[in-house]
Amino acid sequence: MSKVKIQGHASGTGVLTIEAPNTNDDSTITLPDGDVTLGAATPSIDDNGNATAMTIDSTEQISIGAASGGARLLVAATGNETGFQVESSVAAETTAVLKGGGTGAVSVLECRDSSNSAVLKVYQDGRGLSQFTAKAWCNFNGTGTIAFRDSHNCSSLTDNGTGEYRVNLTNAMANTSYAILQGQENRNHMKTEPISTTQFLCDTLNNSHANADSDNPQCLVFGD
Amino acid sequence: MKIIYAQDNGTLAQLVPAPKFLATLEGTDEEKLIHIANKDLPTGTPYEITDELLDDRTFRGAWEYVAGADEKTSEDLSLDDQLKYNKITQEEYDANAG
Repeated sequence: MSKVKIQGHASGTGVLTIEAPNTNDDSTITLPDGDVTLGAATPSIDDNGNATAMTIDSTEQISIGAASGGARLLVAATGNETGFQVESSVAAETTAVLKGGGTGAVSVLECRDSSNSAVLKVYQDGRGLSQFTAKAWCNFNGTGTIAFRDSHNCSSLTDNGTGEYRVNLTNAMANTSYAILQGQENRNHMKTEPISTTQFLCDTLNNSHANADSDNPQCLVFGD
Repeated sequence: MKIIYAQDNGTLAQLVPAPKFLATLEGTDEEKLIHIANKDLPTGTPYEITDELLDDRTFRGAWEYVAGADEKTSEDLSLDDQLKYNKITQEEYDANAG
C-alpha cells in the first residue's frame, strides 16, 4: 500500500487547514501519479469544462457566453456589452486580419441582422455586397481603341458605334432595378440604363443630343 | 485581342475584355476570349477573335462584320460558371445539376 504524507515547511509559521465541505456524502481526492505543484502548473482552461462563462465542447468548439457552439469560436454578448473587440496599440499595426481560403465568391466577412440575414458581405474576390456598396464601377477610353482604364466587377466593354457603349458585368445583378451613376469630361451628357442583369447601356452625346465618342466616361452601379 | 461580331443592324461591334477580369481567367489568350464570348455574348452569336487595330473611328457607323475562316459561335457557360457569375440561383443550379 502506498502512503500519504503531509509535511510542514521548515521556515513558515502559518497553519495550513484542509477543510471538509458541509456534506453527508463520502468523497475522495485522487492525486496524480507525478509531481504537481498546485497553482502555477494548473491549466487555467481545461477542455473538460462546462461553465457558463466559457465552454469547450467535445468537438473543440469554444463558446463564450453561450451554452453551445455552432462556430469554432462563438462569443455571445448579453445586455449592453460589446461582444468582441480587437485592439491595436501600434498606429502602423494591422488590427485584425480575416483570411479566406480561396479567391472566389465566398464570404470572408458577413454582418447579419437579428433574423440572421446578411446585410454586408465581403467576398474573397474583393467585392463588398450590401445596399450601400457599389456593385461595379468603371472608367474607360471611348475613343480610338476603346479600353477600360480601370474597373471593378466589369468583364468587358462593348463598342456598338459612335458614342454607343455597353458595359458587361462580371457578376450579374439580382434584378434590373439597379441604379447607374455616370460622368464624363468632354461631352454634353450621357444616357444610361440597365439592359439586363449583366449589361448596361452607357452612351455619350454631344450638345445636339447626337451620339459622340468620349475619352473618359465613368460609371458607378448600385443595386441588389 | 478583342471579339468582333455583327449587331442586329449589321454594324460591327467590338467587345474588349477588362484587364482585371482577364487576369482571373486561366488558359491561353484565345481560351480566355472564348470564355468571355460565352459569358458576355448571347448564345449562338457568330464572332471572331482578332488583334486587328480598330482605332480610326471616322466612319464608325460603316464598320461591317464579315465572317472569316476562324469564326466561332458563342455557347452556353457551364452550370458551375453560371452559378459563379450569379446568372442562375443556387436553386436553379441544383435543379439542373441533378
